[in-house]
Amino acid sequence: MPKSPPTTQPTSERLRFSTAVLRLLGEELNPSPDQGILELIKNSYDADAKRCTVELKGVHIKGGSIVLKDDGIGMTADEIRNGWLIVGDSMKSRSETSPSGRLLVGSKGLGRLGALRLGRKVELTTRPKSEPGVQYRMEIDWAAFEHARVVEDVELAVTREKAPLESHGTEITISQLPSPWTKGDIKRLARAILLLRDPFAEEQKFHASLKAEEFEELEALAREGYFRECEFHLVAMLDENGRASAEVRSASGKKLFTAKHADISTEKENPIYEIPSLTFEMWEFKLSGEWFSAQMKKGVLTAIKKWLDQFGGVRLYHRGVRVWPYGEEKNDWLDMNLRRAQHQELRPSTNNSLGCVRIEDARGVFQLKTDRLGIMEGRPFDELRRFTDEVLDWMARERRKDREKRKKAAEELVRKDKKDAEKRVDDAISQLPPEQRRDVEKAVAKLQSAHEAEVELKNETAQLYFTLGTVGTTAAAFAHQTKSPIEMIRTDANTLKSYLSDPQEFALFREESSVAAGRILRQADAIYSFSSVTLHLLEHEKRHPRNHPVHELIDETVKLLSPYFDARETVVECDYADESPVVWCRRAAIEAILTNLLINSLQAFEARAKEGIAGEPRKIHIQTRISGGMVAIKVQDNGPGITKLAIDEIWIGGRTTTEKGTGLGLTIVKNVVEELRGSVQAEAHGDLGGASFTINLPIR
Amino acid sequence: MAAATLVNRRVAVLEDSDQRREQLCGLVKLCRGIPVPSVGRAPDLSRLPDYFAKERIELLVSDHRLYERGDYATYCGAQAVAESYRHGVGGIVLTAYEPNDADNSLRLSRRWIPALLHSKELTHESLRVALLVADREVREHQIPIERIPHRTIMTVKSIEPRGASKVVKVMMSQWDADQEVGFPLNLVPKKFQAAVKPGSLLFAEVNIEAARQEDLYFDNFELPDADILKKAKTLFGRP
Repeated sequence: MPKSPPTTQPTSERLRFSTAVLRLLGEELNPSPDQGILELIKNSYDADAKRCTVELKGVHIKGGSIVLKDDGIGMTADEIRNGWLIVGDSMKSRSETSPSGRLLVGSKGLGRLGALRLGRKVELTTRPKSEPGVQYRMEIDWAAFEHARVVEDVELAVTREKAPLESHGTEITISQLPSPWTKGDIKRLARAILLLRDPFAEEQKFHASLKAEEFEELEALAREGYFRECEFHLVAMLDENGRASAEVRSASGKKLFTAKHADISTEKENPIYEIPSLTFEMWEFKLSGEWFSAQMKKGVLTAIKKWLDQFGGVRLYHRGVRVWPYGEEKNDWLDMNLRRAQHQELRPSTNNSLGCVRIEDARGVFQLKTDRLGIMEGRPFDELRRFTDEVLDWMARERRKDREKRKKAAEELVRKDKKDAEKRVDDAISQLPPEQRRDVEKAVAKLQSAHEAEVELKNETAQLYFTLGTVGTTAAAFAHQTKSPIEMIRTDANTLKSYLSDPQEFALFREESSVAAGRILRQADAIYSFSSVTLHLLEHEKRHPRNHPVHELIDETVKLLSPYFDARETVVECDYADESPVVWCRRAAIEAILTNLLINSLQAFEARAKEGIAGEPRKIHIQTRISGGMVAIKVQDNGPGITKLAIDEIWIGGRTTTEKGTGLGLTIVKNVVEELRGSVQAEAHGDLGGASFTINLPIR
Repeated sequence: MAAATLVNRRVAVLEDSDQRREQLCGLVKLCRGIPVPSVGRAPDLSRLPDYFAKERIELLVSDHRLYERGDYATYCGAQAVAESYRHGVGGIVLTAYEPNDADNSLRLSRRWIPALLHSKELTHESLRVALLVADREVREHQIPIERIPHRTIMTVKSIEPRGASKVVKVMMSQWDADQEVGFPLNLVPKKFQAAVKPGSLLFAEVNIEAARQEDLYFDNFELPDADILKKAKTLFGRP
């Protein structure tokens, strides 16, 4: 009988880790020593400590040590064994709290490992609150791991002793540091520890410090708190229902702007922010010598700059503890500098502002990355960014409105002052004896006409700038169109040149050559029409004010731009009021308004096609109506309308959504209309579906 | 096997300007090919392969800006050539070469554009050469050295707004240590976009043998792993 193969009982095996893993997890997942030490401090926070101090002993030379002490609840032998010594399991679920109710902030225990590996030896002494008079001590000598194959082969002894101190807490000494620390290293650590908690928060239930003069200097600097010198103080909140609110105050606490949810959230399809409640607070400073010297605070500016150098930027605090590297130098996570480059006077930058985003996040929606440098990118982070972006956009919009309001008020004041001054002069003259009165009246009239001539000269210069701006926007919009005929002529000329030198080929393609010659002539005509537009816009005569019939000016402008309309297959229709309104203005002013609006329409058509959307045949409609001493000129198109900017923002210089746009066109329109004492309104979608602009001008 | 000449080969011509289209057709004839102009409105992008099959198209020449004049097409030439590449028809893009296009719409599809011809260099001879190069790459898979991608490291120098989109400017010392090159941010996979910041490092497959910057394409972006960052920090004092 054949023997059956012997059966054996299955053995019980374990997956074990080589000691090399310690290096991988400890050193390579830790971006810097600071981050490791911060992790130990976070452990103290999670252990309900009120104070945590870090002391550096002899670190300027090789072999120094780091000592961390806290007054937390300490650890029992079981907690050391089943928590502290388990790498990758910090025994914390994301919604768990400490005995005193703190939301836990420590991570997977990898940071702790990184910190402990900073030196060759580690000594842990901990006095658990639950076992008064007892302390546990343990030593880790990393050299022992170098001789072992797997991590589990090294035994670590935990000894129970009588505690020499009554108080509870934990002390960790990391000794025999392999390399010396520079002054820069210490300064960086001091800054990291100081900023781990919001140093400007009024209530500090946990204080972490570094025993070093670098820390004391920084802490003193933080205490300076120049908040009272800020230009704007923003506080934006998101409640637990995802609804936003915000307000901006001046340094004196005066409320400048307030916003409800609908003012901030512009995403129509998804207006609610799907993240836990949070606060976004920011102080913006006006770092100009003029501002501070006007307030008799010259020396303060330098101090604020120094202060902002250290503490500027917007940091992120999650559960009260800082998340790196948001707000660090060169970490412009809110893209503030990019936006400021477009609107210098309306936007904060990382250099002139300081702030923080505070998120409590009891449910643990935000997750930190494994290396603890940042929050995991994903929907919650995107929503956070949407909130901060939209808050900053709202603030810029309010500031622009405020600036416009102040400008209008200043203009009104100047007008009133002028009227008052004229009345006073008239009153004074009327009291003079008749013979003197005539002389003074003559002198005043002369002065007035000289003044008017001066103003006129300035206005003419301003108009020249508007015209040049309009020529610039036209050139930018049609650069390709103007270049195209030149390139076609070049190609045809090359073809003719090569065939004329080869009679056989020329005979074969005689007809093609004749067509090419005809094309050269047609393209030359096109170049002539395009260049005429610029020359016409720049005619000097057009910058003198006169009475101008509006309909005539519209017809002339449409005719002037007709080569572009033809080239873009766009039809312009006009529907005029029965009467013929007359406006006192420069021809160039109306041309600037219409040219910029018409170019705007042409670019919108192009942008729509580029986005892959087929549309109706392109159409622009110009309508005039007269009412109450004003003429309303309405320019509409059947393009995509105003979609990527809020209506308020389209007038801001430099703001454009088309790649060839300069962002100046509509700013010029607004400025010119205001100079003519008129008004302009925009609608995102008018009667034809596209953008609609209505200009109201006083008529004669 | 692709032919070495264009004799009697049918070449589709996409161009929104009537004059320019007429000129391109003339040049195709001078190359001995048969021009097939798309007049009125160009076929939809998704219908291009059907159109090519119906018209027995073997090659394509397309202007880049097909959307300027009227509603000739709702896509640009780069998209048309990329689409035809994917369906086995070689094509070239003709461009007036605006820097904006090079960094943005052209770069987005540059991987699938075998040849790019500047309008100012357009002659029947340059057109013939470019069409043959495209044909060889698409039909015979004969890829010239300047179109072969290599894993390349680059430093992000800046991120610039261009209309509603953003362009990332990078420096690649493997290509040219003195010249910045731009590409649209949305070419980078969404999951990596947040990490694209001035000073950060990126990996991508780039055809670094290309002589002109407008011929460079970027594909398969990756973020450097922690090990590389650490080494970079040691070498250059910053990640």
